Amino acid sequence: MPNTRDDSAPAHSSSTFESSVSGELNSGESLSDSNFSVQSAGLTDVGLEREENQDCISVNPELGVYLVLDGMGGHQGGATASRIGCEVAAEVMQHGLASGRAHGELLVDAAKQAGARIHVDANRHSELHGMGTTFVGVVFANPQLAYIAHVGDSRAYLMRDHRLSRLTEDHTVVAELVALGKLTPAQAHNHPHSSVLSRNLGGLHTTNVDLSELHLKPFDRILLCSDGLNGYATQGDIEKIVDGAILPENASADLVELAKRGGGGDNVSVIIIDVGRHNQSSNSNSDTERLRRDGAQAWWKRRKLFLRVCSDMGLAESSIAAGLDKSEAISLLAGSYCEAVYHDLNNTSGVHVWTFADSLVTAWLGKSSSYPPLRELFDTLRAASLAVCEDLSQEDQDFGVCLEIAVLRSLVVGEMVIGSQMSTRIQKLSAEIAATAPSTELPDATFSGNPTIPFGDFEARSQPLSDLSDDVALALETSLSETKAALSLDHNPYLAIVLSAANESALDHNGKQEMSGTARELYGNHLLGESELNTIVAALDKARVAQLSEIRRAPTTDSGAQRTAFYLLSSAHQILFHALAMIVIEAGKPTSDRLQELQQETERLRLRVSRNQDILAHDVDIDTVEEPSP
Amino acid sequence: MIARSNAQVFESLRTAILRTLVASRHSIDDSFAALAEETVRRHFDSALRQMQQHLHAPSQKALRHFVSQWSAMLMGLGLVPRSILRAVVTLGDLVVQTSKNTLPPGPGTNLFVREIVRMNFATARELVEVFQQDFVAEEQSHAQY
Amino acid sequence: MSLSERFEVLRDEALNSAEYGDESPGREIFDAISRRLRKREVVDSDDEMDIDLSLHDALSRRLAWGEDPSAVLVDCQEVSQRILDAARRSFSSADEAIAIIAIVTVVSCAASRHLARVTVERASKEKAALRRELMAQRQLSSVLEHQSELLK
Repeated sequence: MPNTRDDSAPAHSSSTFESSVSGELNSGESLSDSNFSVQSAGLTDVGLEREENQDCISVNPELGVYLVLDGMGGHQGGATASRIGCEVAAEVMQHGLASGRAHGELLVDAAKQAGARIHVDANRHSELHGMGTTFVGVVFANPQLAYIAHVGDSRAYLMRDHRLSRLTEDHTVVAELVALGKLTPAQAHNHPHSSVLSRNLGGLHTTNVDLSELHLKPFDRILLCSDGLNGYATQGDIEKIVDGAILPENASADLVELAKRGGGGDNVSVIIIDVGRHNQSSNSNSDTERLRRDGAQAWWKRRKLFLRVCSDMGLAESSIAAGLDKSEAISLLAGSYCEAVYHDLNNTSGVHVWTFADSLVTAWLGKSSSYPPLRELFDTLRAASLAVCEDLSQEDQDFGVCLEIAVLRSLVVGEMVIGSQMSTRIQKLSAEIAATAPSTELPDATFSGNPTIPFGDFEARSQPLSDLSDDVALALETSLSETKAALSLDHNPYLAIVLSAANESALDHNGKQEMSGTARELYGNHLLGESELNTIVAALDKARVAQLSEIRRAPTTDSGAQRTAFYLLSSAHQILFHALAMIVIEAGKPTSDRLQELQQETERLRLRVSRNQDILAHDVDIDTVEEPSP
Repeated sequence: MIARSNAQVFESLRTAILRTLVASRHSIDDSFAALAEETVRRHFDSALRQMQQHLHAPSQKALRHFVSQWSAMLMGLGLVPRSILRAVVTLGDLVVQTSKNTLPPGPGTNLFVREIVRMNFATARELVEVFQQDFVAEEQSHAQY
Repeated sequence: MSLSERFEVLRDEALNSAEYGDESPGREIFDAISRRLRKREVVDSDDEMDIDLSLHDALSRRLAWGEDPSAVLVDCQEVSQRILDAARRSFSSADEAIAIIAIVTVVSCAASRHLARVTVERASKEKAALRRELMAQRQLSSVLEHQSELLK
């Protein structure tokens, strides 16, 4: 018998809150419903890429108050904002509930007071300027009624009848543009700035807070989370875990792991709140209970049959098992799958089969290996699984059918994993083609035929200086030669170009030097790409910092000349940087235009397919076909 | 009383399933939230009708044809393969759930649900095969450059 | 009066507040310079490469509201230049003038850098979308072919 699933706390540095409370939420409310209980668990984790956790959560089952805040702003601003927000809101809730204030109104007030406090602190300490936080909070008024308040893109979800639905709409600029009718939902989905928030706590002294009422039913499960979860996991995967996990602490730990498996690029925080789930076993579907109780055992009892079928079908000869002897191959591939199904049957989840399939498929396809062996392997696992179900059906036909339903769903999970990997491969390949395809197919991004980039009046400085004094010219020339000596120009050809161009522009102080020409020389014939841009930008930064430092450092008797030289050189570097940015921006425009054209063409094709489909459906209406009764 | 066929049972559930699917489209995948309600309804309706037809007269060839057409239409709406696969699986899950909630518990319902899950698996598998073909086509397109 | 407070005096002139009021184009540049000056007074140093997320956020917000990136860039250029001119004229101490000019340059270049990066990011998304469209068209065309045969 395999080990039962390890539900112990994950081995990472996370703050965990777990609670289980029955009955008492707030002394001001009647909680006479004897079946009522709330169980909750929360977890916040720094994720895999960030150095600091800027999320903050608060779980207070005694008061029935749950909060998730996701801070933003550098220099510890984000972490400070979410911490202040959490503390202030929790305190306001505690005092307000004690004095009998209405729950919904109080929650909104708590968020607003938190925002005002963050705003004041941000303005008081310049290093915290600009900090802010999202906010999503739940307060239970009574067993059947909760209020949800939110600002920003931290979310609340409800799991009811095995479906996960979102309770909050993100406060993003794009969402507001959709609401105003300026963008369609489809445009919003692909919008390049879809994550820019339109509201947060702390940005302004007062903030609009959205409030909604939630009428609860027994077995409802509420999920609060920061965007570190939904940004790195699909809603389908979140749903599987929230639905399948028996205890809230398992659900929260699995969700954090899920976000990390998806890249873990952001801090992730989750709170799970169960309403009345403690009686679930007695109320839940009897087939599900029986599967959980007996199905897993029945499956495991037939493990040898499963392995034998896999062996007979030649699984050990699969190229996936190359290098392993037969028993190792069977144990590693078939044995592991069999164990994963057992655990999933035991937990009514799909997480174990998902994990098995994900690691196998990622490893196999990641080596750019071919698809057919993978297909054969999964087909073999399916045949062996169905043989086990058939064997059980000989003993108990109905139970065999129930097991087959569960086992088939595990196989669907396997297909999901393969399909997701295929999807990733297709998208990756498409991106590679897009990056390497010649300009005949992709828009021309090299500007050879474009007119000069417009610079308005910027080229001619608004206040021309009188002729440069010898001192200024000398300061500029000295800084150039010193900087060239200090930087190793051989390693980066861009540096020499930038230094000379900036110097010439500064010497030619009326701005006649055509900096756009230099910017084009830097940009060359690159297609738009992040790494190329970063290289050029790094050279611009390095050259500027070095050259301006030289001017400041140089001993001088004429501070006026030093100031003028510094001004001229600064201005030249700014013009060059702006010219480069303008070229990049102009280069992006043909891609946008081409995309729009292609989208219109696709739409035309789609309509033609739809029209044909209608005509064909009219010819043979499948619904009107009668079939004989059995 | 004459027992109803699987296709007839499905027909009795189809409208309710479609309503739930459309109402909960946000939950399937974020890409579906971006589509207009009517578009989602039309595509799910065609999928449900195909399921009914498959229960009535199973045909792997017809299923394959439908899957490639359905996938092409959704990709034309800007959905990525992963979202399309998710929609197929969710659709199956929802039919199972609605059946369990609506039909009387017992062996008959279990047999019906098994047919649905078998069909759902077959559809997901076909879709993965379609993706594989797309991938091969993309590889060929890549090789041209 | 501290340097940052004296810099604030230039706000109306640099942002042409008489014409635009509180919502002057390029206000984010002035705010970022002001923030940097205040920070410099507190920590007594200025790291050239320190990232100002508030500036990024303000610029991204303008783009998200649908403004053309080149228009945003031009606003940044013009405001930076006006601030440079105003600073050169208004601060008689060479050290102070150089300090302001240095910060204007850092902020102005940061704005250009951010706008260029956002554009590149957007372009790579759009290129991937181009391929998706082409793939969808290929599939739809093959479905159309099949339908045409059935309709014959």
